[in-house]
Amino acid sequence: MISWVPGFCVLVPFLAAGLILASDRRPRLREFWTFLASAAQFFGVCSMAPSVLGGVALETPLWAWWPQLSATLRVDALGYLFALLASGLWLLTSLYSVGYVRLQSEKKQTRYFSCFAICLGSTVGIAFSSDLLSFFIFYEILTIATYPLVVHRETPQALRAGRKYLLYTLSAGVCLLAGVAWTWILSQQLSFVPGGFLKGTAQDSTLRWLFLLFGLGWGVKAAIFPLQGWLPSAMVAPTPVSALLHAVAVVKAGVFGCLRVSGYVFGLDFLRELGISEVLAILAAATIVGASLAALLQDNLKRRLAYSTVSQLSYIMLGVALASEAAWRGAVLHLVNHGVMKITLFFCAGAMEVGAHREKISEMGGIGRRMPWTLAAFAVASFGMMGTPLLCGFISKWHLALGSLEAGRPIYLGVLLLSSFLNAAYFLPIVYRGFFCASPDFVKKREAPWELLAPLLVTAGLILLFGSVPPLIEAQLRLVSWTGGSG
Amino acid sequence: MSLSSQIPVLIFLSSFVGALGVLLLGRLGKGWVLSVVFLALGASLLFSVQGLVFVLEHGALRYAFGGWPPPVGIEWRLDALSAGMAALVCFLAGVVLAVTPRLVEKEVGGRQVYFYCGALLWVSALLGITMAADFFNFFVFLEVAALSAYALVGMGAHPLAPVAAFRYLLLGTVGASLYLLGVGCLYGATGTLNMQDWIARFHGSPYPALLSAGIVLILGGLALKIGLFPLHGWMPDAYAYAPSASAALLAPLMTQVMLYGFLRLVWWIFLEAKGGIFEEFLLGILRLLSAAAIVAGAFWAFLQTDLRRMLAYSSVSQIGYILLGVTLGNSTALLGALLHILNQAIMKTCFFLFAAQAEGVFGVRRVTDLGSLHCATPWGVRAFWIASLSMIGIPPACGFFSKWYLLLGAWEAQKPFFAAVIVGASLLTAAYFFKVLEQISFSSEKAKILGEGDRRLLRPLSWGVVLTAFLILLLGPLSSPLVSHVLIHALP
Repeated sequence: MISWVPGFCVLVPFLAAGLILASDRRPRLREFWTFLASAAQFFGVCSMAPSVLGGVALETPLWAWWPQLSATLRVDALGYLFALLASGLWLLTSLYSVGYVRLQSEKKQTRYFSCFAICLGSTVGIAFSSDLLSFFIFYEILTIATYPLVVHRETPQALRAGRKYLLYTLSAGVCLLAGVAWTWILSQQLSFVPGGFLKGTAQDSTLRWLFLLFGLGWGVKAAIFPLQGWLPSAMVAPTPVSALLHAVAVVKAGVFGCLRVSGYVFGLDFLRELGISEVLAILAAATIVGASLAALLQDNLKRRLAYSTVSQLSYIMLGVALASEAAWRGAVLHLVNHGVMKITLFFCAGAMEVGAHREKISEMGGIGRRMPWTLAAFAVASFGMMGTPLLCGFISKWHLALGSLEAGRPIYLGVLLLSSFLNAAYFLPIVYRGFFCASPDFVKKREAPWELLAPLLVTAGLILLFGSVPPLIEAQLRLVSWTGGSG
Repeated sequence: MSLSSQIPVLIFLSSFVGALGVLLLGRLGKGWVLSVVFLALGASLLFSVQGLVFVLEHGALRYAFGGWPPPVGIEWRLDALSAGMAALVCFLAGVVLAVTPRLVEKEVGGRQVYFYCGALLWVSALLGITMAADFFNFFVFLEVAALSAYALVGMGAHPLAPVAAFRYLLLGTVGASLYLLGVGCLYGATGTLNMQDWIARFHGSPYPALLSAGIVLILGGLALKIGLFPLHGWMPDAYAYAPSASAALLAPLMTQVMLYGFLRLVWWIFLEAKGGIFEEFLLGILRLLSAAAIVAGAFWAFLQTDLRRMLAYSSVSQIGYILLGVTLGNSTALLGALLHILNQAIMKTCFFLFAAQAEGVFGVRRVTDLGSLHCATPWGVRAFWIASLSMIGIPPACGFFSKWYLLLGAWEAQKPFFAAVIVGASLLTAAYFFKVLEQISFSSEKAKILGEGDRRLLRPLSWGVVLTAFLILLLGPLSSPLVSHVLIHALP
């Protein structure tokens, strides 16, 4: 059904970016535009819920290419989930950002807020793209708009991280573009079709190469081993950037690309026939374990969270690679759930950075006395990451575990369990020492300001709600069951 | 005889008469000069657009001078491609001249009248090139354009400007001589100079070797004029040391019109004649050279410390893209090349106007000194960002779309190597542009304070830069209607 709402959701942040640039000297107005845009986008996405739940695909036609290519924004269940996640968290992050940049007295806030808006516009664009070319267009805009945020502080270290980021992501973009063009030449089609459309268009070996190009394309953003190098370095960015972009929007765009290409271009069954699933599963398992081990070694909290992200993203990849119904459901669920949990953790890290000036884990003993609510939220998210029942992380891990058994690969169940154990090993010490070690620095209770505290409490609440309230879980599962990548 | 049939000659005459008018009215004051310039360019633009609309509706327009039918008389031909090219030339030259009057005053001083006369003469010659349908006539305009370009380059106050102009003149003359020699060969082998007539007589010619030699000489001469790697030696100096207003005029358009001439001769004339050896051998060599140009130009651009030299090497690299599109041998790639000519002209205008801001207003040339420009001219810097991203090929800026068609063309021609070059070189492009962008936007600490700059000089230049950047963004999404409504009709 033709509707202008999807287009509105994508366009609003871009307009806001322009308005933010134009109100350079007026911070209040600038923040107002950010809130207005994020609220409008979230509202727009929410307003599509009835039609998505009713099984109607909303479409906004964009333009037609020569030859016979047309770009349309289309809202399906998978894209809707991603857009809902990104826009909802953007609203919270906007509030958090405003508090954060004021307290840190960051320079160049105009650039910061406008780039943020562009990032979110393109993320929702990615979610709603109905074909590979529009997907690529939004994907590249996202790549570039993130760069000024990574180098925001303009220190030599930040500039180095920025160069590394660009090297990785632009190379990935090049591979993706080559893959898109090749797909067009092979099949004269670029629109996503559940179950894929590439089967039988060329020899299997050709298609394996094509998948390699795609894999390099989204693999970098999804930080799959050995392409994960940029993500820990990019943690020099301000914390709200790490929170929303490096835990939700950017990295999830890569994972979302994986879901789209695997489920809607190649088709999961075809991937298994090609033998790609096997390789992907091994890579994902290696990333899960390796990144968890690397996370253990980090003392900087944000870097530890970054490695944890690398590890968790590969859960989703593993779900795709296992190619069974339950595993796919687990993958899609984890895309959403991990986003909520990880942003909570980053929000907490930022609150501790701003409220107590602590960035290193070794200096965080006793921090629970000073910031009990923050650390409690951190604890909830940590337990969620480990997959504790009644928290949302459990639901997705449960489906992934079911999926590995359904696919007849119990070994990956072992990997998941090992990873949960490692999660506990790198998260729980922080919580334990925060609450139970005493430190002379932290005697009086003093939380970070409400702009920072409120968003993290909300997301921690969401972790609880989506893990323990049956109707919410049911609604989520129903949406997820419609994303069917296996056709 | 209706007015429409006179369009080709009107396009040319408006500018040409304007050039003479500038000389005559020059003594009366600068206001007069500028009004003549804009009147002339405006009239040419108007006629070109009218011509474009006319030929899209009625097909190509042939104009025989003095009523002498070709092949005896001189013939001009206006089709969708040449009308579009003419409109582009008039429009961009108009934009550059409209935003630079004070800059010209500052840089050229007392020789302004000659500057404007030269500029109009140059524009009219470029217009002539777009329409010439006769090998020798083509040569005449090639030379008029080149001679006025030498003058525009040499007018600068920079001590190296005359040297750069002289070097340009030497190499340009070699190129012209090769071209003329080639025309001699073609004439000797077929006895005609009219292009259409030449195609008809091609296979009946008793001297096939002479024909091949002629084609090679003509393309070699044009390659020198274009600045195809490794024949680009004149380009960096000429674009770096010319007055910044001349550079903004020359750099975007000169190369693009030469490229237009090249692809016109290759696709409409030489390939049309179906010479056999030509397709396989010569196109193969040119393809390899283009790929080398893409990579080498980008590499050298990365090494430059002077903004304008970097932009010049970037042109060397982009010329490679366009010629690759011309020589891949299918119409998708050719479409990409045509689109890239258009995009490239606009992007380069944006870049060189920005360089004119940096140099003419603030006196900064070196990339490492660009640091505080983002305070001095924030919108100029934003425009520069857009143009750079477009150059790298980031959608939705227009540069992406031409590369997309080039890429499709390379796959279609089953040449994965060239596809790899097209996409891979984006990374090199990104490397040298981000080197500059990092300096401009993220190095406020080591930047020197530039001061306010002369606002009367700065303001119009900023308008020019922002306008072109806006066009870059606009042409991206508009490229699909542009392709399906105009460029499709411009293909052979």
